[in-house]
Amino acid sequence: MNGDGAPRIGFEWALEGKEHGSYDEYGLLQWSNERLAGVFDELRARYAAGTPSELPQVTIAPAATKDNDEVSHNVVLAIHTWSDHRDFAGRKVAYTRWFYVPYHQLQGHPVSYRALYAALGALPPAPEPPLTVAVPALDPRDVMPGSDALAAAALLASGQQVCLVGADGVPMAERLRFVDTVMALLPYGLRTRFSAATWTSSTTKHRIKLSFARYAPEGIQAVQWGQGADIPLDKHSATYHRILRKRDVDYPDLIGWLAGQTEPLSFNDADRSRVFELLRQSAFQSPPARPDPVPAPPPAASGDHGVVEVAHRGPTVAALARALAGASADPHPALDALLAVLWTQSDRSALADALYTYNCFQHVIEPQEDRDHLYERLVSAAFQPDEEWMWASKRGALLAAEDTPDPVRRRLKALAGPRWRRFGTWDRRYRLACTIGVLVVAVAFAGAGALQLLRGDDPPAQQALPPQPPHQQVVLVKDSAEQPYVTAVVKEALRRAGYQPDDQVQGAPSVLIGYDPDIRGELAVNSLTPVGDFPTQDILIVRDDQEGFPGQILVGEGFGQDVEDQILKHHKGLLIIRKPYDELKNQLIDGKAEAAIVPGDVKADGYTPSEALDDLLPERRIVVGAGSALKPALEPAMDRLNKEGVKSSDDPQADAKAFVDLIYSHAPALASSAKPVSEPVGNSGDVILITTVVAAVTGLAGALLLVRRPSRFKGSLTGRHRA
Amino acid sequence: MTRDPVPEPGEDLLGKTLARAVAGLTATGRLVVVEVAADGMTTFEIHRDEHGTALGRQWPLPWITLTAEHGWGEDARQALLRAAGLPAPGSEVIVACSSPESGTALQALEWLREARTAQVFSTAAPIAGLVRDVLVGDPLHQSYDLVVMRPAGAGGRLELAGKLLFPVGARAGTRTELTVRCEPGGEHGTALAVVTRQGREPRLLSVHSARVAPGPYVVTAELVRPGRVRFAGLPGLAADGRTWDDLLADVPDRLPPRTGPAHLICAVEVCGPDVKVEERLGRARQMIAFLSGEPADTPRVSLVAYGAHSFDRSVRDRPVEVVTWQATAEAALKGLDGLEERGAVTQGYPYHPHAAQVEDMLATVAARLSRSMSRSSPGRHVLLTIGDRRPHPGRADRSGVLPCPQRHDWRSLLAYLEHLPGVAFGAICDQPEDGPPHRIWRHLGAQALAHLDALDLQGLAAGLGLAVPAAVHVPFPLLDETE
Amino acid sequence: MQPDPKPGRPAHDIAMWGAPGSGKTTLLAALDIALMRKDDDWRIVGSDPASSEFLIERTNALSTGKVFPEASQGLEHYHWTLYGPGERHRRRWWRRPGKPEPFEVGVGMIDAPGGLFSAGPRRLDYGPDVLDDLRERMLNDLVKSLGIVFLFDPIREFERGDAFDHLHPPLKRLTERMRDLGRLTGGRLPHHVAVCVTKFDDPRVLETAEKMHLLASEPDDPYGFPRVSHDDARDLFRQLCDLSANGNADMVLNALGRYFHPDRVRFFVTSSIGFYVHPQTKAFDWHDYQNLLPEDDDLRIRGPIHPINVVEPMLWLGRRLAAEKESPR
Repeated sequence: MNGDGAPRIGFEWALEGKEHGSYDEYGLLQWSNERLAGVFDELRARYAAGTPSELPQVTIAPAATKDNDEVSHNVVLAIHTWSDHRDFAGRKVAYTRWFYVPYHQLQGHPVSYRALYAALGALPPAPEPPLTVAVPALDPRDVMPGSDALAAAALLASGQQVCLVGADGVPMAERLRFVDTVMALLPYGLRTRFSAATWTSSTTKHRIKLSFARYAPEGIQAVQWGQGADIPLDKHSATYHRILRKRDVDYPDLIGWLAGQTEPLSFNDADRSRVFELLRQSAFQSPPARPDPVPAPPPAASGDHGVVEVAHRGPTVAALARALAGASADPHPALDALLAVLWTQSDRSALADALYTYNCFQHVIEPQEDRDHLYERLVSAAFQPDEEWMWASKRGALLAAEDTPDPVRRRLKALAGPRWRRFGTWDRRYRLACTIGVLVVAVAFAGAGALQLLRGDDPPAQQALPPQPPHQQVVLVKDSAEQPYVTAVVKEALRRAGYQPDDQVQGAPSVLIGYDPDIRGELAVNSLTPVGDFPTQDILIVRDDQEGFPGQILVGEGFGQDVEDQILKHHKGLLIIRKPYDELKNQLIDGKAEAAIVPGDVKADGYTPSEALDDLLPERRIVVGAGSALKPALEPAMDRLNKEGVKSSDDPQADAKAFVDLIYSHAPALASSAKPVSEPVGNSGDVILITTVVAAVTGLAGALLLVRRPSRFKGSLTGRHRA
Repeated sequence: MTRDPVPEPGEDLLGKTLARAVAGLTATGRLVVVEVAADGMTTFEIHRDEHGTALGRQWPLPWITLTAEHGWGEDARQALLRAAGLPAPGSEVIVACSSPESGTALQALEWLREARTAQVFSTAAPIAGLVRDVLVGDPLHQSYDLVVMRPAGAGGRLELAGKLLFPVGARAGTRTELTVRCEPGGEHGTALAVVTRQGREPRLLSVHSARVAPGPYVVTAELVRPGRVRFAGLPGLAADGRTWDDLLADVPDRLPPRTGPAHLICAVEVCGPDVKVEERLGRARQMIAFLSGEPADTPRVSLVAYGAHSFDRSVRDRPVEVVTWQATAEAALKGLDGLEERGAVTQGYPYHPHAAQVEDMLATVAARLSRSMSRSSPGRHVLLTIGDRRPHPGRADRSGVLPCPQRHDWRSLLAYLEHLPGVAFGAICDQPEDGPPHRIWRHLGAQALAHLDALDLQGLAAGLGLAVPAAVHVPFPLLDETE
Repeated sequence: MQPDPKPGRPAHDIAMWGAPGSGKTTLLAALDIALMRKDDDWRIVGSDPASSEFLIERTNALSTGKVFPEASQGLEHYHWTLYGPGERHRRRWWRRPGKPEPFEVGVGMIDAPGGLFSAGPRRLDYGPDVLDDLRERMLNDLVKSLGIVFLFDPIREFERGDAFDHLHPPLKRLTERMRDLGRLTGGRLPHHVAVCVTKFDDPRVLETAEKMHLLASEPDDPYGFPRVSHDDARDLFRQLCDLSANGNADMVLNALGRYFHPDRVRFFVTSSIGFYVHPQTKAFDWHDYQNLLPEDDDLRIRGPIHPINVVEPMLWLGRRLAAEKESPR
């Protein structure tokens, strides 16, 4: 190291150009090392980027030399500038200075390409020995990735070539900075195979990994400068992209960590998993919450009932959510722990539920200064854009709740894509137009209704009542989850809708209730779609007079074997007896059983729920699946059930009835914004029908006219893009 | 002792014999004349010098000295013979005795006769005077020429020549007359040098010079005696001690041309690098200033500036600019001020970078000159071109230089100008970097061609006939052409 | 310039072949201008934005900017489509000659730096058969393309004399490769070659042609440009070879005659920038026809561009290749 602190890097060089007035083509004019002349020739041919119009430009290329079976990697930087010479035909001669830096020098001292360019570019065209130059180390704080850098890094990680378009006016220094930014998001070792060019010709076929051009050549993925990739990313790139976005640490830490990963890597499939692994490690900077599937060592045998890491399922989301809700001082660690365990879709769903249940953890997050950021993290973790089908209803529920904090509300609203159904995100103008249209229709309705009244027809039935089918239809409801309450609710809802649930009916069930994920297969077989799902927890109920831990526990037949094994492992000497559900119920009613594990909504006299096995008992989801025809009938009930949760009750039937009554006695509890509903009134007369239709048409026409003003009209009717 | 009889004194015979012997003396021969007298012996030796002039030496030998040193015996005889230079093979010997009675003389005579057979003459008086007369009366063995300068060929060159003054055989007292023209001859003035020719090389006999005013003179040359020529006709003629080489060193090779009232046309190329244009204008200024200082006659000055052609429609061509025409030097200098202020024009694209509007300039000059010549009597016109670029050809040719848009052909224009009476061409050219200058510069600098950097104004002006060269002087008289 | 409406249409690849500075890129750049100056209804359209961009930029640079393109450094591929008036079908007795079908041919041009056509640097560690990457790619392109535009620069030949050195090495390699692929027809290469003698506007070339009385102007040419017909082009080529600096150029003619089928080789005398046309007279002037204006070290174009015989080689190749595709051997 010399006095200014920047270590010196050795290099070799070559100068490519033409003599003044030369008749020949471009060739190497001078070089520092005779052995490398052939290497430089090879590099020149391989990484030729086309005929540039504006110089200077920079090209970066890898070079690997083999010396007795030992491969040594090198990083090559080429600086293209105009010389003052002209060839014989009067054309300007461009000089290219090639610099060849052995990679091992950078392994202990990672540097950015910009620093290399600054240091090497300041040298004279034919540098004299000693061939070393001082280059400062890479500064991770200097990198601020935008969406285009993220997209480019993700594409590169999956081994594709990337071309940046739309950067025509950007100066070369900015482009070089971009190259640095992109490579900072990848392990440093990839620089041994990386090639880039700050300018390429759109009509040249090249194999430069990251290039800038006016148009992307065929077969090369284009990334728009300042924006992102045009087409959706493929699987690998999407994964990398997601990891980057969901990182837990700030960019400087991530980049600093990645800059330390200097073992040489390639862009091929062989090293891809390692690259992803490194990125994950850097993004979370702690061992992953879910290790590889190996059995975890058992905890101390003294019955430490702390959080136990089970092999394939760690602390559940619910548990951690509960922990977060209970966090007294600083919620950050609990939040981090919670977000760390979100790996699957059901985890996210659980988180969304937890958000609903605990009111977005307001009471712990509000006092914090970065509450917006925390809310943002929670919401973005739980609500993934490609899982909209899963959280659509939850989101609706959250938005409906009055005490949802505003940041969350904003975020949730912004989640939806440009669909015209999301009325709330529309432009004010369009909303106004639609509202006017609706009012017109409503007036028409009222007019028609008044007309009818005068005529003395029957008043129209209550709105939002599900339509009665022409005749009573018999449906079969099958409950394979032993959820009497849910079953009762379902049946009651169906009854209200005019169907007749009957258990004796043969044939395929029209409604299925079961546990996720086991029920899915059956749903598919019967071509039923999920209508609602809600969590349920099995609980351990212990007889009141039982002291300490029970010796035997009754479980239903459908109880998971693995859970049973787990319980047995932790509680040696425990006896678990499987019984059919009815028998179990009888035993409970009789009070014969010491303890039992039952679905959470079951209440039994003389038994109290115990939390002893809470950690072991899995949280399960109950899925209600129904045919498409029955869906509208069941939806309100399911939504409500989702919100209020499955309760354990003594008398499921009565409770269910009360519940359903509650639902259908007043207006639907859904979104307060009006829907452009134009349901035709049931069995009204033809006149009414015609009048209403005409009114509706005029109303819509009016609304459209309002909207389609050419001068102010920007874009399509589908509203604005996601913020 | 038998003594031959001494012949009777006969000066005429001796004189004739001497004259004959001297006339017959060759360039290498020697004539020995011994005079034996009563008191001693005198030996004369006569030879010719490089000019063919007969010269004599004498040395006496008194008997007293002889006897005192050597007695009167064998020694004395040898000494006597030695003194006489006898035996002298290859030379003619003439003995004269002026006192036959003296015994010593007779004895000496006897000895002499023994040593060498020679004619013996008797004289009465000492023969020194006779020898002298004979020498003076000797006719010339070589012709005497006067060194003059003669114009040789065209172009005002001069050559050295010899004008015959006295031919071979001329005797003393001969006179000739010739008319010569004298030019200012420097510090020594005009030199009248007499030379004899031995083969091709002239040998200087005598030089007399005089500072005279220029003009024709009639010079009379008199052959006083062989080896001496006396001139008359040039006032202030004095002997000059210079050698032939000194005289030659002062000889010019060019006749200063006649000067007279002239018209100077200064054509300056005002395109190219700023530095060059500035220098060219500076040279033009120097030239005009120099000429206006000449006392003889102030020339009329015309100033013409030309640049480069434009080959793009959007940029107009700049025509040749005639700043002044046949104006005074002051007006021309003022015009130069304007040009210097403006600096270089027609630079960059789309003006041609390798050629200039020389042909256009020639066309302009030719047009003006033909007009002025038809009006007034022809005078002398000097075209001085200061530039370095080549002209555009009249039509597209292999050189690749684009042709003149007006299709002027520089060859025909130059030929026309060269045929005009009284037109002289001078040029101050700059050697271009790539290769020799274009052949037009040989024509444009036919009378005087100089380089921009090392310019000898005086020489240039003189070469063009605009000034009298001060340093040039003619040391010899010029022979008039009419002769 | 809209992109090709039928992107799936097969394009015929045509490769440009010539020594450095022989005018390959300039010929391509002048193509659009040449087409627009033709009287009949021809146009060229880019098949992808980058190719259209090239046409637009280069046309602008030549016609407005009046500058030549810089020396090429990489291997460029352009995809264009030539549209033109079709030829009427021959009249058959049972069918009326319908509207002539417009002629359309997709063309993929390959422009390489001239230095790639020379032998290349010798490297001690690799054998003489191993080419560097660019040459390898260029050779592949040559193998794929069935049309070649071979540019012969008489001025470079006159000053330098290395036309043969830029023909022989790639020709040998190409022949070897084609032989290995079994695509030689009758022992010769199957390519169609348009041999273009460039820089016709140079006084030395024009005067040579004039001395040989090969010049004639077309009667319907309003400018009266002198041209050399393709029958005479070969003779002019031979004469220009005689003026070569080292006398190897006649081997060029022989090589062309031996490696390619004679009926697949056609000679053209071309000039990408054409002759200077005076704005007032609007006709060719024998006293002043040079269209080049020197500017310090550079050369610029003096006046409007009237390319000569720039389109004809492309059209000839296009027609030949299209005919070949339709009637497979």
